[in-house]
Amino acid sequence: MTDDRSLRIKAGQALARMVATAAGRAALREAGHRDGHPIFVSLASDTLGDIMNRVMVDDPPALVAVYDNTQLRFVLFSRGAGGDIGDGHEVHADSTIAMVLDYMATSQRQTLEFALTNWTGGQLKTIEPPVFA
Amino acid sequence: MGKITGRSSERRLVDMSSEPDGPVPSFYTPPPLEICDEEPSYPIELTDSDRLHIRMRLYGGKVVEFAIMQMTRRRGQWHEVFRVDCCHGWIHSHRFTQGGEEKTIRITEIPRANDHEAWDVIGAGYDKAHEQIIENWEAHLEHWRTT
Repeated sequence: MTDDRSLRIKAGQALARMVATAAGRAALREAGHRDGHPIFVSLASDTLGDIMNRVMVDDPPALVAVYDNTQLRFVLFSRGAGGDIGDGHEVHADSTIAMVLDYMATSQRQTLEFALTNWTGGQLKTIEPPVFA
Repeated sequence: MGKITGRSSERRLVDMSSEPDGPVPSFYTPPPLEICDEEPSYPIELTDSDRLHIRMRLYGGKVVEFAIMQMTRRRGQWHEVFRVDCCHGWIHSHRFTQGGEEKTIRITEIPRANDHEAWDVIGAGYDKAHEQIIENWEAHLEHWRTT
């Protein structure tokens, strides 16, 4: 079993456990999930470009579940106005989810608007992870 | 490239909304949808071409019916590879082949005398089912590909 596959499986199992509990379903709703919309399992090493290739730009917000071997974290990935994120930081299609999450955690930003080449921009919003590991 | 394009052509998912007409069935049936809390649906995209689709009916905070489907995408179409559900009084597994055949195995009978006992069996069955499907995801897929 590859590490990537193992992480995806663990994320899938954690999500399946979550949706069977009222607290888990509430956490997903709070994270932006709407009934019937897909939840995209991602790895922390995936890039924004990887995610953009999986998510239809006219179908956001997309809830991306990231599993880092200790816990699930959720990123709501949606279209936005785009723009410079400032603070001397830059995100681009090669930025990994881990980098973005770290930046948002250290800068205490809950949302991040960004612009990417060949895409009209978007907004990332991190969600407080629920207790499910 | 890699975009989700096949949703509209996805094979029809398990319909948990229909209730049998006529006499009371001799097997467990879930509470009718109109008195249930909700019937949420969660497509979980594990990879570009592999999806779990979870549907469940909830009553009093308990899972009273569920279906977990493993699906794969080939040439823009989603195909069902494996499913565990609880229709006709049993928790069943359904293994599909690319050729369109289906093998059904009964896993656990759902008791019908006592709803709470039935819901406990269904809840435990759900936990076992999602663990089994995800752990054996690649084996199911390989079986589907080669048959």
